[in-house]
Amino acid sequence: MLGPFDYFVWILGFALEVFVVFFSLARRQFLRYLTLNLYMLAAAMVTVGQFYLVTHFGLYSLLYRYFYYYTDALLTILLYFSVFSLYQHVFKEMAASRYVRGASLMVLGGTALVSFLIVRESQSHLTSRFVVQLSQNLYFVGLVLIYILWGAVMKLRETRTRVIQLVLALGIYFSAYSATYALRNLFPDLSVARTILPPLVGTWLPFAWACTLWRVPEEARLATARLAATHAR
Amino acid sequence: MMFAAIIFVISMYLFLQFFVSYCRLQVAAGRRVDLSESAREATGIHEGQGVSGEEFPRLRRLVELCPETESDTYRLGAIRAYHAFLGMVKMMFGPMVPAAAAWATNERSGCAYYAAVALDARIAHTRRMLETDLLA
Repeated sequence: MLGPFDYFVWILGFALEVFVVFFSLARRQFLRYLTLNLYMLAAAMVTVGQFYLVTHFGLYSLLYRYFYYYTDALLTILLYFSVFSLYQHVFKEMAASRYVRGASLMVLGGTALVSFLIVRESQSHLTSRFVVQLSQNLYFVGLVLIYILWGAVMKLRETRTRVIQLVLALGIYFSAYSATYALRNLFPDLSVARTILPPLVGTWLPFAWACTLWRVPEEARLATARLAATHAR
Repeated sequence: MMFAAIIFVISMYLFLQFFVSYCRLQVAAGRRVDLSESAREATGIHEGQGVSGEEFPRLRRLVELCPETESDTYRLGAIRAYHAFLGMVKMMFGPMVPAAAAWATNERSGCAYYAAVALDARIAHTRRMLETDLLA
């Protein structure tokens, strides 16, 4: 059964996703951060779908479970595009768009191929454990991608506060989700990793992006040397 | 199982890295803001004088006394967690690595200043609300 806390986090997440899209449209920044906005739009639509399935078929229905895990995997892949668009923002001045596009196509192709092979291997036992493993791997690939991007941000001394904040928010999101799914794989009966952590982490990304777009102006700049976790002032 | 355990350890390590960097970004942005006269009076922080990291709980309580503004509670929560994390770093590594203790002290001071900036924003917000009510 869903409690008031679950509904609150659910509604908050949906409201923030919609806010990001409408705010970007209102400020005419929708195209500047196109993939980020498309992801938010898709996430909001998935939330509506989940709500429909929960109210009509119940939280423990097989239909809802499959919808949850497979849309989650698709949204993660969609989020890869947001990561690649941030790569393009960071490498813009180096005119490396062609290489970023090539690398992104390779990563997506590779991920699709590996996922296809895993699904084909596990066709006879497509259990919830399998989808948890798939999600864990997808989030981990995302985490590796964003960590490489963070390395590039530091190395190239990126100063745009907005880009830095978007990258860091994604880093927290991917690492938290990856850790949560790994925890679920290690301890399948641990309820915190199934009920409390996923919705909280899920709300983090729209919240952080909403704050960034709303509060940080496009022209804000900051020295990245101040931000490295291991750097002492 | 082994693969999941490795992923968990790496993810937690990177999570900490991203979390610390994100909080440093917030604290660094906070340091750039000058406190207003009324905030200086309320907090007792004088111009050109630093603020100790130990002041953070007191400043946070002052922030909680004012009405919330622009949903800053979530970020204050993150800074609070960061402050506690720095306290742990200072306690665990301070005696062995003085540089870590110095870094943690400096960052905790930034957290306290961040709370003062949040208080300033809330005071200004409360003033605006009162003015609007009086004019209405």
